[in-house]
Amino acid sequence: MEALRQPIILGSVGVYLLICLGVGIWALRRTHSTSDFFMAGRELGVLITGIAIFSSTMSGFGFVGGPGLVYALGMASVWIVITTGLTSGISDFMLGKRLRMFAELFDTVSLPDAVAARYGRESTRFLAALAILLGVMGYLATQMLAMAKVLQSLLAGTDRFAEISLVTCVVVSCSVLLFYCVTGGILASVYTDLVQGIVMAIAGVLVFLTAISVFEGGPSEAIMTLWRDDPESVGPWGTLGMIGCLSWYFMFAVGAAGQPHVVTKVMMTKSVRSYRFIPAVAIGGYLMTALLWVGIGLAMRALVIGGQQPELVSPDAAAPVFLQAYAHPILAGVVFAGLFAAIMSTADAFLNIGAAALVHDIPRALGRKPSNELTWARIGTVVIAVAAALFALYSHYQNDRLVALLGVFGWGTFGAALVPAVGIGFNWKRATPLAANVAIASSLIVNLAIEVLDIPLPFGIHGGSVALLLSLTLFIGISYASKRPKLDPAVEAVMDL
Amino acid sequence: MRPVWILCSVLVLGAFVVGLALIDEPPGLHGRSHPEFKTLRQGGDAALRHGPILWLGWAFGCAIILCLSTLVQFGALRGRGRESLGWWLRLATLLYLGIWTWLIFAYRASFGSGPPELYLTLPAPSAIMIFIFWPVSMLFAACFALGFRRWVLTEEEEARFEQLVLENRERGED
Repeated sequence: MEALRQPIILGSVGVYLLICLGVGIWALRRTHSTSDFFMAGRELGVLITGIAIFSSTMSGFGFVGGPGLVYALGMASVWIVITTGLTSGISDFMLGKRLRMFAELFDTVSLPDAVAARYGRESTRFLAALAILLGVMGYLATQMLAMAKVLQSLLAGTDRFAEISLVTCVVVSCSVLLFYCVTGGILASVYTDLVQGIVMAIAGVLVFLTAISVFEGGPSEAIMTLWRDDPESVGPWGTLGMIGCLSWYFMFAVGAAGQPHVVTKVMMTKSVRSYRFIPAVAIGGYLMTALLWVGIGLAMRALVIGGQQPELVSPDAAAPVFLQAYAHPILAGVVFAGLFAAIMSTADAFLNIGAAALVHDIPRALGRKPSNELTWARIGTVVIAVAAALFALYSHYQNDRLVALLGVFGWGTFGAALVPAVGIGFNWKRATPLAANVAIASSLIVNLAIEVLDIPLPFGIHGGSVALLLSLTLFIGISYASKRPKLDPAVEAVMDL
Repeated sequence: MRPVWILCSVLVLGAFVVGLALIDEPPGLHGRSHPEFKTLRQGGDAALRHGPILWLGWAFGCAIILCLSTLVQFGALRGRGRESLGWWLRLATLLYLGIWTWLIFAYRASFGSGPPELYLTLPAPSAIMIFIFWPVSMLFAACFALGFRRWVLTEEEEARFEQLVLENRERGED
């Protein structure tokens, strides 16, 4: 079986990619309108929405970056994961019902569409779409680069493709992604998310069981190896420190309510009432996948410190090296497919919301409306994918700070930009368009300034948390200081429910 | 729940951030490079790096938990008939704060102690974090699913919404 490890892994990834192509062809026949392309016709059930939400949240970061962080910093990054319950509480109570009602009542096809309906201002739509587009480029470029690097490392073990270039790997992996996103839009995206989510959840549990069985004395042996080297690495703050961990905790707990690729899925459910059990499905899947994050990270750290494994080239190699060296070949195949799944499920969601911002929201905000929006949506998807791929390659070969720079328009900026305007604004009649515009613009400026000027924050506090605190303060403060806005009667009625 | 409470909790957190900028960081707070492996970091001496700021950190954590709870309550407590949900959420917050405090005490007790006793394979503070602090946060999500028809979307609200959609469509057709 060991001799077949490489063919099994490549075969599993190949089968998974074929499934994605198949779903794309199937979804093509069911995509007839812009609403189908961006909102899946608002026909999604509980299971599929729940799984799509968790698989879009747990990106390549969760499968590669997460174990890498635990490997390098010990328990610190667990504070990102343990926000789950509060994250769900905040997002569900603030957005679950309200956003879905807005989507149906105003027939919206994107988050900026709903923002425009709520505030009645095209400038607010434009800023929300701009924040999304900037974030999408950074996130997408990172995901595409990660996908190509995983493919390259897999093929490096074969005789035929050992010398394959990164450019070819970008082209191959992006072609599959692009195929099903262009043909089937969000419908293909959420149905591939279903496959991807199931693979990720199963992989998470199996890998965790493998990780704890690597040590003869069980997981206690691994923990004691880590403790003897550095007790703080298995303490609650890892090596990062208490205040840094708490700032992550705050940013990830609140920021979730502003992640457009996740909250947009709330708008796609069959009915308002069907949202009841969606969070439970999403949390369940997320917890199963999080086992991989913690399990591999701690196991690899203990193996390296215990001298059973040579030191890794970089922390991000923790998951791939663990799978190649310690997992059963079939499990390694499933997990490598799961790794692709994790990256693609996030990338497809970003492609879709990016295309909506580009062809639907920004033109409308500027007073234009494309005549054949479905065709433009497909063209927009290609344009964004190609731009992100070129951007990823340019930054890889020429300027590796570029992706990191736009990457800051990720979780922290989405949270800081959209939580006040969407999370609070959709529940508070007094919130004004000016306050929403200032909150979105300030979050973009503050996050960019902290990154570009490399401003050090005290005690390792994350820049995204500071931007979030500032945008929340500005949003609520300006709304209170402004004249009470006059609302559209339909908006007022839906906000009374 | 009025947004002014969110504003207050956010301002308190902002004051913490400004306050932290004005005091000196304890040595080695962010850990140090591992002497043997360049891809790893070490935390160092717990008492040295966290001792001077432990109670400040506890207060910062309490302020974050209260802010998060305020956001949940802001989203949840809208309209009539949600008073009992408010009590459940406040109870969950108190429990959560209690466990957070327990975690800090357990961490304080681990300063300078010998090999730890393991609970479900983890030292006490980490075991409290993963096996108690994390699951208890699920109470907020559980309130949503279990009380959905009573607190989130009542049948009356659903009927009113359907009526609203119908009226909106008719207006659009006119």
